[in-house]
Amino acid sequence: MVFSSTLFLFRFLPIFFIFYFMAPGRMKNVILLLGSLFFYAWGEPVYVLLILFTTLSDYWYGRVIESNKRKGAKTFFLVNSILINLLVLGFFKYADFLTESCNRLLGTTFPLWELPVPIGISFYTLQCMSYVIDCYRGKVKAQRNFLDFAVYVTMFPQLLLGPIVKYSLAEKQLCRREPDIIRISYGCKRFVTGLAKKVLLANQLGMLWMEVTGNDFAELPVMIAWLGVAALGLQIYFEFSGFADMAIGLGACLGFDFPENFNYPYISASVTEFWCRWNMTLTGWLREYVYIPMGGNRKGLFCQIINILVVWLLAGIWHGAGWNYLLWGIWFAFWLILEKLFLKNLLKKLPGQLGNMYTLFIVAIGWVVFAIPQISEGIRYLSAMFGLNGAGLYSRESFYFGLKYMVLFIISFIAATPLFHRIAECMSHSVTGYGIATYRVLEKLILPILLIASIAHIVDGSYNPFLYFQL
Amino acid sequence: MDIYGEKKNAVRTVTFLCTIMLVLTIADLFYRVVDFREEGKGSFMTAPKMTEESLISGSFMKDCEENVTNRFVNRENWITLKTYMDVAMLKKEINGVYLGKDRYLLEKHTRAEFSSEKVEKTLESMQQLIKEYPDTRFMPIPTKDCVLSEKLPAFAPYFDQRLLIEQMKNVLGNEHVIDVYPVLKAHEQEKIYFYTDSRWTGLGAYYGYTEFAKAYKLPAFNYLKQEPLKVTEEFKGNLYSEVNLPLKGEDILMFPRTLEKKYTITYDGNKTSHSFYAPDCLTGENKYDYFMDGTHALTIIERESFSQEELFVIKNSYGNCLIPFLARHYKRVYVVDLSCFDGSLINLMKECDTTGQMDVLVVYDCVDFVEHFSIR
Repeated sequence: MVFSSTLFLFRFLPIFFIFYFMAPGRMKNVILLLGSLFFYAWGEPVYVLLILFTTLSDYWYGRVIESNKRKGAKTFFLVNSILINLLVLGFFKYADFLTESCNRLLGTTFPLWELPVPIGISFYTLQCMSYVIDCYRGKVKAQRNFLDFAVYVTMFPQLLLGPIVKYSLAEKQLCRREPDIIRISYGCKRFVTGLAKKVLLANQLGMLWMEVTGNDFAELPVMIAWLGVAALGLQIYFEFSGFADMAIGLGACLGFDFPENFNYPYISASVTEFWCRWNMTLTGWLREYVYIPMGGNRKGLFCQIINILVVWLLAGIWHGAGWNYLLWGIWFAFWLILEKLFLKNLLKKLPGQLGNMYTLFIVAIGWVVFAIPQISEGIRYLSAMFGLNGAGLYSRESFYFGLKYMVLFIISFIAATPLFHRIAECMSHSVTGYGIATYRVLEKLILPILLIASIAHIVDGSYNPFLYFQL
Repeated sequence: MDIYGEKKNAVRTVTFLCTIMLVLTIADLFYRVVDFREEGKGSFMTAPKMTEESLISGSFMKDCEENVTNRFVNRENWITLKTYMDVAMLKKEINGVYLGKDRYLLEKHTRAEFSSEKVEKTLESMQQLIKEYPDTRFMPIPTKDCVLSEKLPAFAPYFDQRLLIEQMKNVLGNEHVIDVYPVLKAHEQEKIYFYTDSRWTGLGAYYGYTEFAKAYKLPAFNYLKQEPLKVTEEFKGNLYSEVNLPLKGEDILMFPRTLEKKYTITYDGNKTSHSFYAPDCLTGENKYDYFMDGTHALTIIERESFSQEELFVIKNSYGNCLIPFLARHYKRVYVVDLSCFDGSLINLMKECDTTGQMDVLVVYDCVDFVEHFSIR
């Protein structure tokens, strides 16, 4: 079940929340667990057992690690737990990729497993690992109550697409949450905004990208290739951040404070900054559990470069089982290292807009590699972007494309910057009565309009994909 | 703002949004119950069946989702609302239909949709037919976006079918192709295509007929001499339902001189009529069925005549408004629509061909021809 479906919005959501708010105190977690398991089983009727297995296993390891006093035993159990998590993730997500690569490179003929990737496995595995590692480090206390721990792992708002909530962040709220109308109202707002981002922007932009990639790349003029890339980059952003908004919103309605996952990444002035603003919970996780334990930047420049490379290879392959994802990780590692070495100082001297253009350029090329699974096809698309395919700068169709999606592009560009947010801030803090009054009226009007508009698009149902399904 | 005010404001926001969601949920559920009671075979009956197998494979869940979306309360209105939003975003294209200038809706076609293999395959089929019947002539009708390219939205891509027609001439031979593009293009200011339908009007078909007459060296009869009759103003064609906008209906014109002779028309061997036109259809949904009573596998048109000339027409629905113009030149006209004809076309043609000199005409629009034509 995806948030942007009629079934979720008009069946699951109302029924779940009615039960949830009717349930007294501790019963709320029971309802939340049952609801989440139903939600997950709806999309993955078999793999729901897998998520329960992971939950049970890491619950047990957390307890065992805490109760053991000897360091050696603690480490043993920690390694055990990490291995199990990685094996499960590795098997279900990467087995076919590895077999296929092996077959191709060595000429072997191992059969493929052809198992579908369990939805959300990349997210909940990381969450579970954060819990066990933090137990080992003594940063958090092992959860005694299985129900609370199961709620942490399976909670439906962030189950499919993050944000990755570290256990330490959710710990307190797992057992005590005060219902708070201000937080619920904030949650509703975030949910509707996220829904609108996904349905009104990401889906439409995705249609453009589909139209562009439906053509033969050898015949793509430069203008269309760039329109396509712009649409793709915006689509991925609105899709991903829209889902994060919806998750944070639903979390707030349930009484949780989930961490933010995006902070207007496309206004970044360097690739380093971009990665501080994009999928922040993932980069945060990798920093805390991979980069810093490996020595981070404390062991000299050479070590740091190696560490960056490793982290970004992991980040790349985490996004999907394919060579293009690895390449995508390397692409960013390359620019990050370059920035570390000298580029960053150079960029600081240039005006911010130039840095921003450079960042967008690097990111755009990254998205092409990311979105086109066959690397050779990706290269053909890139050559179209630079006019190397000989199809010219523009064609009649490119102007039509531009006109057809112009309004969407303008809205998307603005929505990808903090402009709307700043205007709202300004108005809500304005000292004149008019400012506040307009803000209140708009606040009341815009959300229902966005909601109704999104519903119309969902019911029409022409194009409603779920990117990142492979995560 | 003080805490109290903020709380009040929050309550309002939550109430407002939750009301929308709840009202829609209840309305949707209620609508299903009513639907069920009234029709007896409503949504509950068409709801997907839950079995162990469908649960494990997940197909049950998928069906449920589709069921809820496809039968959502007031679905039509939601879709219209979405279309309005598209129009507000200055989109000139909805569901593959252009919102063109001067009321015209035009179906979008691009060359990329048709691979050269596809074109070659259909032309091969045509060559076979010509081999069997050397008198065969093919009238490929260019689609609306090609002829009325002036009416397209700015820079909109379209399928220029002139090259395709040239290719047909080269492959099949000039004498086998009746090229109607020039005559249609010359009259593009007149209403040769419907506004809300992808097909040509009676007037467009008349210009096609003049080319037909030239090709068969027949004296073209002037059907325009008598003013055409408006039989309805409420025609809403096949593109109308695609775009889902409240557009005005349009006229269907009938040329009275087509009915000067006395004909006997037999549809599928069981229904007879003396007119090419079916006025009953004008009250129904598909008003285009006014011409030739809609689609029939085999239609036979006979007329008292001294001549023994026979014509065999293989057509798609474009042919429906052309047939009335052709019939006066023949004693007998056989009309086959391959979309609902089951059986051997060549055998049927041999059965029909009593004189051994039957004329054969194939009438298709270029797009449908490339897509579907085959003599099996």
